[in-house]
Amino acid sequence: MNKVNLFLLTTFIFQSLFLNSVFAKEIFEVDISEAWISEAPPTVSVLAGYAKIHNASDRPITLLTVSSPNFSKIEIHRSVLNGDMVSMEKQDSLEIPARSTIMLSPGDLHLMLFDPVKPLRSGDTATLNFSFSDGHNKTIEAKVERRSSEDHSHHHH
Amino acid sequence: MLKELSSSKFLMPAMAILAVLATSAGFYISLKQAQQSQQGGSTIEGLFWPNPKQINEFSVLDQDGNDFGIKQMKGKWSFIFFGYSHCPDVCPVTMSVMADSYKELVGDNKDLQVIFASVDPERDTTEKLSQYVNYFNPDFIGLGGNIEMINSLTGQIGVAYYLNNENQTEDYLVDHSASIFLIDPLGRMVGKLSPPHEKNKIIQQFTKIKNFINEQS
Ligand SMILES: [Cu+2]
Repeated sequence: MNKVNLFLLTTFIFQSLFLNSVFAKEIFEVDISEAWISEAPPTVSVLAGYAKIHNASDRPITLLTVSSPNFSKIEIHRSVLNGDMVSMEKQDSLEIPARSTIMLSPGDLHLMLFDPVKPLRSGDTATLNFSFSDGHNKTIEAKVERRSSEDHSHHHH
Repeated sequence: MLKELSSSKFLMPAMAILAVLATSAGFYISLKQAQQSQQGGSTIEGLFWPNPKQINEFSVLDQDGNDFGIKQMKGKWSFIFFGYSHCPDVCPVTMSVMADSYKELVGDNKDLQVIFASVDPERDTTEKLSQYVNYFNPDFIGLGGNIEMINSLTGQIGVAYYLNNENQTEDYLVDHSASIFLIDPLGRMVGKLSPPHEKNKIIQQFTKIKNFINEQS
């Protein structure tokens, strides 16, 4: 490999890396908002997290995992009512269709937050890192809140 | 009544009086009440009537480790919800609706008790149950003990649950009932409140069922 070729290759790699990151910023149109964690009674070691995930792009994007330094493990769950029985079903991933919003809300889709590193009380925050299928990550802060049942039902409407 | 009136020569004055009455709110309300009592219990959502199931003796432990059975339910109206504390979504939402409903109801219903019965007594120890129910309302009762004990209650209520603990992991999930059961002071299961739970709906259903049961005796 001569010097000119090496130079061209390096330039190419450099440019593609640079372009990639610029390009990526333009096309990653997923927004996570209204994130909150429901405060749990003391001694309870599993909490639920909720958020609004909006995909403004014109292609579906899949949420693969959510991680946090504040919890030992996080799973994506859906509470499902089957007749009188309610169960939580683990979702391996969560697809957010093109130009649409998915709500994670009480009694429905939620983040199952296992074993907080430190007990979390109302007013505390936790960091949630969302990883998507196209390799992008989004890190947000979720506030721990104690909401009344009226707040819950508001969120349903 | 109208037939009699129409044959009478006082038809016009009577109609006039009726019209005045009909426009008054009082007439409307009494008409509404007459309609409701005529329809009776069949229209009350969630009411089990006639022949509500009699709950017989069962033996569990409350959140202080004391024996709890049918004796502790007699003379009281009880709401019972079956759940588990490792359930962070549906259970706390239901319990906070119960807490808000209880706060409004207890003033006029001193004989009301709210019970959270754990279908996961292995993990929900007495001490954990105590802190769990206390978080929602210090008056609330938490029931547990062991599986056999809990089954003596779930069997009678006719409520199913399923522990997904085949993998022997600590974080297993439990499928359970999402309904709230209503037991009257005679220990009869007179109602079932179905999800989605909402404070005003619970208060309305409870009041209707209680009034209906009181009318029967
Ligand atoms: Cu869950």
